[in-house]
Amino acid sequence: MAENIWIVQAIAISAIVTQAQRGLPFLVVRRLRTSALARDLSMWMPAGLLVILAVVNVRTSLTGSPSHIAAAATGIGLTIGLHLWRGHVGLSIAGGTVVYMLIVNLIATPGGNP
Amino acid sequence: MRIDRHDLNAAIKRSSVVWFGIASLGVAFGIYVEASGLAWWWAPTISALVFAGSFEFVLVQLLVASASLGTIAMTAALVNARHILYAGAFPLDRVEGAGAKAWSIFALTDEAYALATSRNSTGMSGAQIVMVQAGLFAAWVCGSTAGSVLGASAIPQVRGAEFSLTALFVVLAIDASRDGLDRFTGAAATFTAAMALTLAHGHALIVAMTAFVAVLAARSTTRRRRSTANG
Repeated sequence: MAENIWIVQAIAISAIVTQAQRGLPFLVVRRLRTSALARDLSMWMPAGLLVILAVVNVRTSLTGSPSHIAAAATGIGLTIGLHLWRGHVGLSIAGGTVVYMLIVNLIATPGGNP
Repeated sequence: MRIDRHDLNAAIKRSSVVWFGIASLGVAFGIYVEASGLAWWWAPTISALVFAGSFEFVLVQLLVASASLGTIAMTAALVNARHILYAGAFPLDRVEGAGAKAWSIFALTDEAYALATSRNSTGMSGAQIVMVQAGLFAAWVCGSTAGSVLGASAIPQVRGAEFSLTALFVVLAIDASRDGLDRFTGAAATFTAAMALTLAHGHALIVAMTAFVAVLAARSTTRRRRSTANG
């Protein structure tokens, strides 16, 4: 089927582009490791990228109906609270997620993320 | 590679909550594929070969819209460009053997990067990293398959497990900011993320990360220039 062949091509191109972006930078990093700029970046970048991932994900989850936003805000607040209190990664994630799921499934009206 | 029981337990303890979140997001992706009118087996095929969560939703949109291969390649490059930065901090040197290294690079998703570079990951062995990534991959492919085979009608309507990924990034960001994240870097990351969300909502991650790295590069250059001037 012509359509299937086209989908295979689309998947192949997507996979090649994605994997090139994951793999090729490692070749460059190895060569750059001695430069002062690379040293600074490797010191500052990792934590900063985590902060960006967090901010963008939090903002994206705070969408939809008002009750969904309230559910997400509660889940995020609880996750932060648990983590500052106990500092246990698994407990913080599970606690926030379970409460979020309870609110979303039992109380809130749909309209959030897929 | 030999599978060590201690490593396996550590990997499960470290990331099973995240596997759960990935699996439920995979179910959502499978349902999306089925609802888009594609045959069910495209969901596990795409998930296993491309393995790039958010981009796969975009890819299915492009397939349904009969976008050109050029458009698909450009979109993949844009949506996944943030991966370029992950090479700077991902501890690939701990992963031993060419095959394992290749696997680690293949499975270098946002979640794998975050788990392998977080504060608690300094004691994480290469074998553990590989297993954590294998769990992420299995959860994503199994979730996609379940979602596309069963479809929206047969899946019990329990929503929201994917929230655990947001919670994961929040928790790891808190750990990072407690552990030597200086004020300038934290402020720059928060500010660029907020700016990107306002100016380029659909591509906020890549816009924010590019701007953030540009700010850090400028800071590094100024700092060196100043120290040369002083010394």
